[in-house]
Amino acid sequence: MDDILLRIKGLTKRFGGVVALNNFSIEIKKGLIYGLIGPNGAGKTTLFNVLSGFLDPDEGQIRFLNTDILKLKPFERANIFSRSFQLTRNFLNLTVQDNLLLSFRSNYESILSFIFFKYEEEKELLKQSSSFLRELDVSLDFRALARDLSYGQSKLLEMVRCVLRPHQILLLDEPVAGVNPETRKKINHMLKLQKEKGDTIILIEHDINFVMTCSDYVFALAEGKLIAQGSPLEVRNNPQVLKSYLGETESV
Amino acid sequence: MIEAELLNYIIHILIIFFIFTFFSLSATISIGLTGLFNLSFPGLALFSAYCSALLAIHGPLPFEICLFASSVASAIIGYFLSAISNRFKGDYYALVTFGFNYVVLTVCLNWESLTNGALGITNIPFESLLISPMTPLKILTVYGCLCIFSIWFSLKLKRSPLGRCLMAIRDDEVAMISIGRNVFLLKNLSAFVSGFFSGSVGALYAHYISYIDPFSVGLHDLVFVLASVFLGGLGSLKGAVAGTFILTSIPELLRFLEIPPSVLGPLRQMIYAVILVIIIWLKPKGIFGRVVV
Repeated sequence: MDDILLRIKGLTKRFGGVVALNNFSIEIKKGLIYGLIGPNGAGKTTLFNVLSGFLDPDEGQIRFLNTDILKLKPFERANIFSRSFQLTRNFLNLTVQDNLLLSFRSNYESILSFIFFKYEEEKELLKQSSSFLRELDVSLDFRALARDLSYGQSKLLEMVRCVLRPHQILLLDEPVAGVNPETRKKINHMLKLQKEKGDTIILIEHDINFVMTCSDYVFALAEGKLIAQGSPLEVRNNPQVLKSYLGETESV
Repeated sequence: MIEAELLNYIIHILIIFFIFTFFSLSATISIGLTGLFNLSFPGLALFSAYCSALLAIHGPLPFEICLFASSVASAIIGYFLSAISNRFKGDYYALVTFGFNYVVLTVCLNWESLTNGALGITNIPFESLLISPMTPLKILTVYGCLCIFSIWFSLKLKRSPLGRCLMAIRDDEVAMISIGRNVFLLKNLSAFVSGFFSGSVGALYAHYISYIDPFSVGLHDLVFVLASVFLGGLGSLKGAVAGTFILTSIPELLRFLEIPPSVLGPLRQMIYAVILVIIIWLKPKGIFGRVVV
């Protein structure tokens, strides 16, 4: 019981007449990879936005261990959640190196303290990042501008930024959408490594095979409601999931 | 005799260049680095010019203290102006901060007991703690040193973790929140530094010219600053200084063509505007810029 990190209870979010999340309740345990599947408009990204504080829910509560995170501001919640975005968000006019360094909070981000700033601390962080990249077998040119990266590389950069950031739960919004098989393998590998380190991951993905291979537990959503949960195999064979997400199979 | 006049003329142009460099630094920090389209510089400079002039007359306080106090005061106003305008985004942010200029202008025009209204304040003393008397050459040296110090400060800021955070806000505010930075506070900090530099412009100008009225700093300076920052390249400090230098020196060449003074003033304004249009049209990144905001 104690290993439950995050408890979401009765979460409801409406956009006008559209109910994006409808009395949604789940529990997240430490050290597992959770897959979140569902058709477009099922409320998956809305859930992420509510969790990370970009949207306020209409009803319900979210507790992380013993803290009510709905009381925290979005930037304060970032200590708990490290999230990636469906449409990659890197800092385009900064170099890859700066993008990576931004993952770590520096003590020198206040006014005046930067005058005495020495770059040793940064070198240490950079070493840490580059050894992580080597572990993943990812090569990124640290001096390149983020805007010059290819789609797959910027996706990787965003993932690496999220993973490197100190966090409790990793929220990944479509990490492998539109990514080539090679990069997909790397991302899969990265998730496995993170799991070994005891990280908790929730990922949204449309690629059902990817979800089935890397997640331990799957939640299926449709129209803002949780329609099934369980191991990947159970969810895959759940008739309701087959109907709403994979399409009617009987007719084939 | 003519040589001495020419020398004084060049000194004057250089001093004006140094003063306007502060404006460009201010614009670079808020528009170029942080991506906040803050247009309140002339208002802050005007506020600070009056502030410094009044301190020097009624204090009477020496130049250094007036300069510092009025710059800090305008930095604080910049901070709160940013905090208030924060709920507006994009064009609306620009409009709100632009409106601030008219607030300052109206107060300076109508608070006649303090500001002497449209007549302005004359005979602003220029008494320094360290140097007296203030000859043009000494003023040039002092302003030059202050200017170089400010450029060094801005460079240091840009290359520090704080500067990196500001540039990241320019690139993607939402991502910045999602990596746990207090964007509201960082934006206000940037407005504070930018306000400090804008404030310095006012005080330096008031003491150098020794006269200030509500129209001394205004919309024409805003056009000048934006033109020089865009010309040099947004987000580049080198560009900001270069742009300011080009725009202060080129129109001065017009003086040597025999153009009547009544045409000269408007012509200079036209040149700034035309340069701004040409730059945005042909080279939107400016001379040294890498960034398009």
